[in-house]
Amino acid sequence: VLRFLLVTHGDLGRALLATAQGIAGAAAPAEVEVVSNAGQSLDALTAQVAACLTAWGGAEGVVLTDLFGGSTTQAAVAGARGLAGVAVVSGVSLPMVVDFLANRARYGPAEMAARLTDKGRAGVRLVLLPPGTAESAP
Amino acid sequence: VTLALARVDDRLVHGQVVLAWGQALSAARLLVADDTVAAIAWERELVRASACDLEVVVATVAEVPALLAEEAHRPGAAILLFRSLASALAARQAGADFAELDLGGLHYAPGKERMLDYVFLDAADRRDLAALAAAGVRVFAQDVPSARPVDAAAWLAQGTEE
Repeated sequence: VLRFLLVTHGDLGRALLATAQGIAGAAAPAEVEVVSNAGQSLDALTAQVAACLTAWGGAEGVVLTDLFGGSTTQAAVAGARGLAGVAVVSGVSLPMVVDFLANRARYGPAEMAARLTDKGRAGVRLVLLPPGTAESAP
Repeated sequence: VTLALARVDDRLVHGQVVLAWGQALSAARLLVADDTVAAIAWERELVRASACDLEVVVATVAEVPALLAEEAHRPGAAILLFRSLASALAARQAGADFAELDLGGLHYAPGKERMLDYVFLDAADRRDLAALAAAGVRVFAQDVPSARPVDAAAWLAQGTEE
């Protein structure tokens, strides 16, 4: 079973994980961890991510971050860099966390990372335009 | 053409800088003045990847005066980023021409005292603040454009009383 680390701004990760577990079912607390960037320097955040990943003891897993370009993604990349079996995906959304929880025993880290990237993209749709808007509108 | 903002932020390039300040100032470019980033290829790549559509120029702190002199001939506004007050002071003492400095993020570390939720200072930081003020730099704290700027003068005064 893949391990899971969510690195986000503020309280987003805790709320996202709690909500996703309400849909997909709860995971063991040790399998899913959340790190927040609140009040942390980039160095401290990176150290916290690295400590979490080291505690996995070589187990395979996926790190999800909220904002590509943000401190959360930078810390995740710096903390996971060089670790075998750990993939990092940015742009986390509710469908991605739900899908991870539901399928974490079925895939390796690389396959899961690719799958979550597709799930995240697939969840973004223009579902309704204002009445009278041309369909070719940007 | 202009230096729109000089900022100290221990996260360097991140959401507040790229999304908030970059858009508010219509910045074209981030000037990242950091010896570590300048020395390590993968850190440079990470910083560039984090800047979305903004151009990124990475330089050592010693290169900042020359970098700012070049800025006068380049189109668009730039944001200059330092990781620490010590780096900003070193650049200023080397001749870098900036009159104002924004404290955007100096987060907690052991031995640092809270000024604001995003500004923690130790004695060395306060000495650097005093030296920057003595060099004619007005220092203020403001994490994002929508926040109220806070004058940093009180913090170095507090430091000198100790």
